Amino acid sequence: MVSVKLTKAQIIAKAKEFGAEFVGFASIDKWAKHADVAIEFYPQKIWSQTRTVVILGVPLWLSIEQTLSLAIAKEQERVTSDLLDEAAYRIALFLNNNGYPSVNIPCDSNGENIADFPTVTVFSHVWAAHYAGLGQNRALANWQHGTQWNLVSILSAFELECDQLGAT
Amino acid sequence: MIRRELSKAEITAAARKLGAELVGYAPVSRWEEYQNLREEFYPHHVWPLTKTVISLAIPSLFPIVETKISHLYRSQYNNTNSLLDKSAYMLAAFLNRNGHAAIPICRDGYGVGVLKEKPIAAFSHVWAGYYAGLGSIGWNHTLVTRQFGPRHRLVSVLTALEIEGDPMIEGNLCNKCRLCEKGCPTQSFSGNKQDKYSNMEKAACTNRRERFKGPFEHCGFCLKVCPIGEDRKLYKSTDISKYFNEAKSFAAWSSGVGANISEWRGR
Repeated sequence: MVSVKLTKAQIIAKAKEFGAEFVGFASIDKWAKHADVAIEFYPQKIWSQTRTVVILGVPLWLSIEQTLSLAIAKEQERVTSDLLDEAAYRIALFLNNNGYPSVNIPCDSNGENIADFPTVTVFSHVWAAHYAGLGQNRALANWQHGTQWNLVSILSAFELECDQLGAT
Repeated sequence: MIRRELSKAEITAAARKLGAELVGYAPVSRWEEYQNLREEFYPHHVWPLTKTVISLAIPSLFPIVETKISHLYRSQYNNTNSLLDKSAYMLAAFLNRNGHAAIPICRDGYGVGVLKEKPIAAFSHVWAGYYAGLGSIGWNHTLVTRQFGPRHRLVSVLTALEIEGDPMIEGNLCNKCRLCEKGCPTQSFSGNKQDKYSNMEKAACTNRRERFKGPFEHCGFCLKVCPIGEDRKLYKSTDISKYFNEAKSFAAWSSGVGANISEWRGR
């Protein structure tokens, strides 16, 4: 396994090549600092080597309220989820191949109707994106306010320098 | 159709760009030379123009394999299958576009129910991967690779282009520790150490899977207990004994008692 020093810009460029429109980074200390979710759902509890969560997003231009056809909105959800899952998996491989162990958490990390089953791991992409700056003005500069996003996360041993925090 | 000469390096680069992590080449002569399969399953019997089989693999990422059984693994399984099939299709299109006939063989496509009726696939990606030098045949009937052990998914592209075969793995990457046999909740594997690989009771494995549709259908103990693979070092997970404590509760899961369910009623 080759170890190559990667920059945040290189990861962003690769994620955009795979189709992501939003690429954000959240250091794991954000979960403890804000304590919005239960400790067992912190990224480092789900996978102990996690130091940074990389979040990818694509906008949903047709919200369910805006479209006349539920089928079209559902299809948009499926297409964007497929795109994000592939992009996240390939970013995890990209990081692995550069010496930073990483694993992607699929868009649908809990599944329908299975939250009651105790062995199922659940991870919130929404909180991860919030900690990565999605929802703040800077991240939304090029997007209409209120745009809905489909999201996915990659847990990575990659450690960001302090001045690299923030979102693109 | 313009025919353009393609080098092996160009094809490998195209496959990697499409997402393949491992790429290997097997001339059809290897099926005849080694005769591990019945003739009707040789690639040139499946499609007569075949001269070379290109074997592609992508890993099942280890931390998610370790969560088995879980919805996370099921999701990864579906996502990797989708990427594999897309990569194989697009690689076949790339070869066709350059004047070299090619077809992808999807990663499965028979469905568990059909497998139960007739437990044999039309084309074996595992043997193709073996002949293409990606790995060797494991005790648990998977292709054991140096990089990922058995934790990967495979697909094949059959092409009329003659390409030099990659060297096959010498010896056996599987050390026959038989942890897969010990950990299997359905006791599907048996045999003697001198056997190349185990006898596998496919119906036992399939029946369990069919019973637990949904997030619990993918068992995969035989994948996660395998000590082979550089992915274990990457993810710093070399303690295999912990799986056997899980196996005790997994046995309960298999019976439906531990999970307090008799069957999965979701989608």
